[in-house]
Amino acid sequence: MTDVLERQLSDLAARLDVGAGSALAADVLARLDDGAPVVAPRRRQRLWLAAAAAVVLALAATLIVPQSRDAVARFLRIGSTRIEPLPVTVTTTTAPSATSPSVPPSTTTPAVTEATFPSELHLGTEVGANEAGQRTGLPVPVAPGLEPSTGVFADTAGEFAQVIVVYPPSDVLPVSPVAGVGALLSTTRGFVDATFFLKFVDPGTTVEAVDVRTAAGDDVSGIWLGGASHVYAIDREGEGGLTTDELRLATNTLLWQVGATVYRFESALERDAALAVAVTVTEAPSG
Amino acid sequence: MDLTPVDDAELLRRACRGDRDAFGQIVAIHQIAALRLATIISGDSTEAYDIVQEAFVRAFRALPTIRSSEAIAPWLMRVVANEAKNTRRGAWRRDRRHQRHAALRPIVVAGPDEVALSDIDARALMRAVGALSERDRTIIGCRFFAGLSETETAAALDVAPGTVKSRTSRALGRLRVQLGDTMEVTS
Repeated sequence: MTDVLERQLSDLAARLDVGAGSALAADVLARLDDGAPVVAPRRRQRLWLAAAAAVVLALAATLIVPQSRDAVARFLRIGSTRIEPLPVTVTTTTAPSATSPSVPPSTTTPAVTEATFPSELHLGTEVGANEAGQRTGLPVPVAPGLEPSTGVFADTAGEFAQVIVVYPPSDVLPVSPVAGVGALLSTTRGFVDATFFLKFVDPGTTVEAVDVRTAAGDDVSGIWLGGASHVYAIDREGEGGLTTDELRLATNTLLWQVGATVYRFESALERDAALAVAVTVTEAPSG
Repeated sequence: MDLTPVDDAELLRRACRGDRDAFGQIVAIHQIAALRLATIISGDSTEAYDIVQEAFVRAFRALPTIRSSEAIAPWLMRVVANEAKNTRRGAWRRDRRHQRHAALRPIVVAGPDEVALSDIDARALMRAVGALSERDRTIIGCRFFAGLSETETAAALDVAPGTVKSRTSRALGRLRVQLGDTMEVTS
């Protein structure tokens, strides 16, 4: 069944001004007469495509788009839509982290709950970065702009593995609701499902869809949870089946998607500061 | 150019034999879908024209590589989408050098009164689409702007139909988050 949003997208498509398309066929045919190179035989296609891809990338900036053209669109805007959470409480069977008071988005120094770190955080087994990657098959995230991590953990107890890296509080990283912890940076397999947050965010939590710039320079989809959210949902197999997972620090959280991996950064940092950390996150070298 | 209606397969056969008029008809048939898709991925309807023109030139030169069983529409949209992404990445690198950020600026023309989407909502929806990631815009663009079916989108993006379904669902979910309470989108 086609829903309202899908119909509205189709409406929008019909109303999109796509310019003077009537001249396009003539323009294309004129280009074909400019001495087009002979197409390579099929057996040489792969080599031809590889070379063509490099050439097209190189030419795109210099030939296709005139320098004098008005500024082209860019997609680096961070979304700012605030979603009012519905008064729905979600409970999980896994014990979340230390209980903490709600952390409003403007708060950078949350009250610290004494916790026996790391046991009460249920981080799994402390291992080295190499072993964490080997045990889980996941990228081991590193945030070079923060103080060196105080531990790398592999959580393989559940159906889906996680790698969790613990960062201590520092000048740039406020203390989290858990003593001795500034941030948790983790990876797991799956896909962030935004629909979940429209219905099941905790009271007092704001949700924003954000674009996250990665260290590789890609612009990927993300979700910002501002406040004391305890759970989030991911689509493990990418086929629409949701599973919930705990947010251990119950504080501000940035989720973003790289391929089939969900990155999660939990800290008391505000949104833009968390995005600034995300752009530095790389993968620990293996071996 | 002869614009007598001919089906895609026949036009494709003629174009593969080097019939440029036949290819011109293919362009005429698919240009609107291609321009809409390029606009959604690139975010600029003027740039989309250049993208689609280049994509069709590349497509003509690559005609001998198309499989006989392959449908022309998804194949063309794949070329257009790839061209749009490559062009956008080139523009993005320039952006990073110049530290210039701007929002999506497509042109939305006024629609008839009976169209469900108001002008204000159309612009809000376009801004929300522009705030999605490139991958989300590509899947939304194929499905709703180029009008491809799930099967055709799967062929265009070289993924399984089930993947198209799940990616579309997730992209729509993120779009709903972007829209928030600015317009009514729930079914």
